[in-house]
Amino acid sequence: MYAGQLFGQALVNGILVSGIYALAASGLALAFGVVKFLNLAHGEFLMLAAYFGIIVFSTYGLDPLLMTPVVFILFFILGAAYYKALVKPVLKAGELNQLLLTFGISIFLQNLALLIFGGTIRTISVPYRTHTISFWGINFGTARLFILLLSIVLLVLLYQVLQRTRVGRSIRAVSQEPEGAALVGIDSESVYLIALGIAVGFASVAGMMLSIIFQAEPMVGFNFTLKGLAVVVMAGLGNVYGVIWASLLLGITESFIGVFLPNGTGWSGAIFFLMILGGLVVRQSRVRTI
Amino acid sequence: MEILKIENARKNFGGVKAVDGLSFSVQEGEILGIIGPNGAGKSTVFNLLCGLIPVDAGRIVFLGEDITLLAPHKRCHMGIGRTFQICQPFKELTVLGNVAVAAVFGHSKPVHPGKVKKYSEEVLAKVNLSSKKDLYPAQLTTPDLKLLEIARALATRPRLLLLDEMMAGLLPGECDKILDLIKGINREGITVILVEHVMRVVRELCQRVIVMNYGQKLCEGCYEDVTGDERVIEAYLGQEETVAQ
Amino acid sequence: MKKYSLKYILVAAAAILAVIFPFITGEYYRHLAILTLMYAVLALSWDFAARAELVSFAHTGFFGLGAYTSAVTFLKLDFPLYLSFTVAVLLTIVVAIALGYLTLRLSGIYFAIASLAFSEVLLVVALQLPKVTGGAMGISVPSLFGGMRVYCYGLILGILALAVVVSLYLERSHFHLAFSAMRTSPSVASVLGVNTVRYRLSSFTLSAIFSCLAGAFYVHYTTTTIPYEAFNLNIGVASMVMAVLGGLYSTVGPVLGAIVLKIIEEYMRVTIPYGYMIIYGLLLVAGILFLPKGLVGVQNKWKFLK
Ligand SMILES: Nc1ncnc2c1ncn2[C@@H]1O[C@H](COP(=O)(O)OP(=O)(O)OP(=O)(O)O)[C@@H](O)[C@H]1O
Ligand SMILES: [Mg+2]
Repeated sequence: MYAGQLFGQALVNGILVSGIYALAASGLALAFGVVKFLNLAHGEFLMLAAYFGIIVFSTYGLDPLLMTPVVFILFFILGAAYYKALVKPVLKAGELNQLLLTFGISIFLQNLALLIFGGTIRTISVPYRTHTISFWGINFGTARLFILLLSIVLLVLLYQVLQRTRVGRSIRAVSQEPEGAALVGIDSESVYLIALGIAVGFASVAGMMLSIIFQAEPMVGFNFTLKGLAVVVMAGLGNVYGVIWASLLLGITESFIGVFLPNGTGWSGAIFFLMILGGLVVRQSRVRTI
Repeated sequence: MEILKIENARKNFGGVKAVDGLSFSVQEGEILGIIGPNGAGKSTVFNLLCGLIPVDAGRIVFLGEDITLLAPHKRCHMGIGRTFQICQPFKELTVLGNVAVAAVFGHSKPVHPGKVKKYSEEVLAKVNLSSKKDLYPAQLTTPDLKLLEIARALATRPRLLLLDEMMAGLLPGECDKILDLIKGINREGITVILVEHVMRVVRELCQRVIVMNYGQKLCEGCYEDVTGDERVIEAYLGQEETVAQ
Repeated sequence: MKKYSLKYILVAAAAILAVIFPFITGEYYRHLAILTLMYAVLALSWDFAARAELVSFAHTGFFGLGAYTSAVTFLKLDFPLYLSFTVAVLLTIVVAIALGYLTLRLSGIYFAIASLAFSEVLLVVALQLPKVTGGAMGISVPSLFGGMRVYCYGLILGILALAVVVSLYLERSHFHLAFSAMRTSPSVASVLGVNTVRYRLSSFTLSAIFSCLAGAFYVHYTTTTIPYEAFNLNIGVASMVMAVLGGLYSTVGPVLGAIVLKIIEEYMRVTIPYGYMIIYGLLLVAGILFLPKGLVGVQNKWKFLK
């Protein structure tokens, strides 16, 4: 492989995974932007969906990607219930309580998965899992291409909903001016519910994808929470639209570091944390004090 | 003697010019009033003066020293005290504890640790809150919260006191008490800048008034002059009942 | 007056029990007690940062930093034990102040995220520098005091005593006023003359120091560690849960939380080998929802009812 090809391959790999990052992060950004709630258990829903996909695939042989709408709806309801039962009681209780609560839920779900499924790594072996197509000597994993396309479709859908529908306008109104929105009669309660439902729904779709192109294990969710945080921080906290660029940046940087740095895959694990630290420190001058 | 001077101060929030090239100075011992319609930038001026928000451009001089870049706690140590438009008590501390924070930290020469309690009680007595010293802020009424704001600011032993809308939400009788309190504070030699919507208070207290609008100084002068000024009336036109009061 | 004397009797009894404990029990309980004391140090140290409204995930990082620094200087540079501890603490102070300055203006969630990122970066660094740290294979040191548990117990009890003294000082001095004020509003505190930067940095640094000491003790006590263990987020989580459950912003709370949770955890670990951390998750959730003031708060509630 000559240098140009290597470069192209690294770029393509980076772009291909960024779709799943964007899906995972957009939910996180939505919940943060609208509900002003940082859900540290976000990734665990992704993990749960990954296992869900694995079970359904192994018992009924259904392709997870075909089940996307069903899973989305199921997890939307789960997200809404999550909001009602756990998020709402701490929403007014301050950031410390929110962080500790969602972190507690995250630990709980991780270890529940560990108890039920054990620590072994699992995957879904759809027939096209290892299939690739090549252009100009650069390999595109078919499964990854599918997944990227599906991510793009879903994100476009989300943006259309946010821009053009009544619900979407209410969501944006609440995120920009909670008090103003309340004055014009928007019921912030149901907006929060919907936002968290969508967030968890998107996480679940990302989880299904995860079990196809990566693997599922109990800790994978938290890893995605962290990567999602990196994306959200770079995009500007709560900014759903910046998520795409930040995800591309994260995916491509990771991929390049993995390919070009000696022992690079190890370091690429640190890069998103440096992005978080860097992103926050650069942005902190803009964080309002009072 | 000139105690404070602010020159050409600017502050933008996104597209909003909250303070737009404002200059004025304050003489030691006077009570200066700042009035203006809602959103004129009055509170922002206070934030710039006490250092909570840095100026985008311009200069602030206090007691002959350039304090433009100084941190809020250092400005407090130099003698700038303030209250907040929306009362901001420390909810985990009692009334006495609230004042003790100011007593312990508020001055470059701190109160002797053994005398903090006594000193804080004296300050509370001055504002007539002694009987409530062991209550928590959540148990106080609005007028008492306002008094606590003043007590805390006083406990830092300020030379310049910035009072942001002390009378908002108070009944006329309660206003009178605070009005007398401010007079007393001023008589002790503390310079006061007062942001106020209640015109009666401005008329009674202020030797000089600055009218702000859209972050700029509209005009300046004694109470009668500025309230007679056409530009001021125009600025307030459509504003709520404030002028009428 | 009577209330106070009861309190002092309880404290004295606890102190005496803590001192004689290793002499009246066997190896297993000694070992358990040592780990409990270590977690009490961690829980207190987490609380130090919490007092300045810092929700820190950086403790995991400082624990690992302490463990690795003291192990590496002990092994590779032949430092005596006390010197390796000292170097670890000094390095921790430098790192904590640097991190503190970098994240000075971050509050709440933002600081939590940044501190989490810090811990994870240190994990990767430990993994990626095998020449220094032994990489994923980990690092081994000779056993502490030739494996004499009683001395190990003494050392960690001493560290805890130090942490308790620091905590009591923070509770009873001007620090308490500054922290309480800053928890409501750092801006208002600064307008009233509190040098918020100084108090924030000192609470963060103090807390880092004790996490580091716990880590340094841990590696010498267990004689071996790997990055995934020394920088395991669960360490920070456990200390956080202990502090929250026991009662934040107090000395008794975190220590009590550590004892209670360690006992529950040990029981769980023996009965279900896998996923016993589930109990931490549950307790954290239940604690936040039902016991916002912790166990210490329960005691106050009773007092209030009587
Ligand atoms: N921290 C901030 N961030 C963004 N905008 C701000 C901030 N503080 C003030 N503003 C804006 O700056 C303008 C001036 O606000 P300011 O609070 O100074 O007005 P004011 O004269 O005190 O009004 P009021 O009489 O209602 O108290 C307003 O448009 C306000 O929305
Ligand atoms: Mg104002």
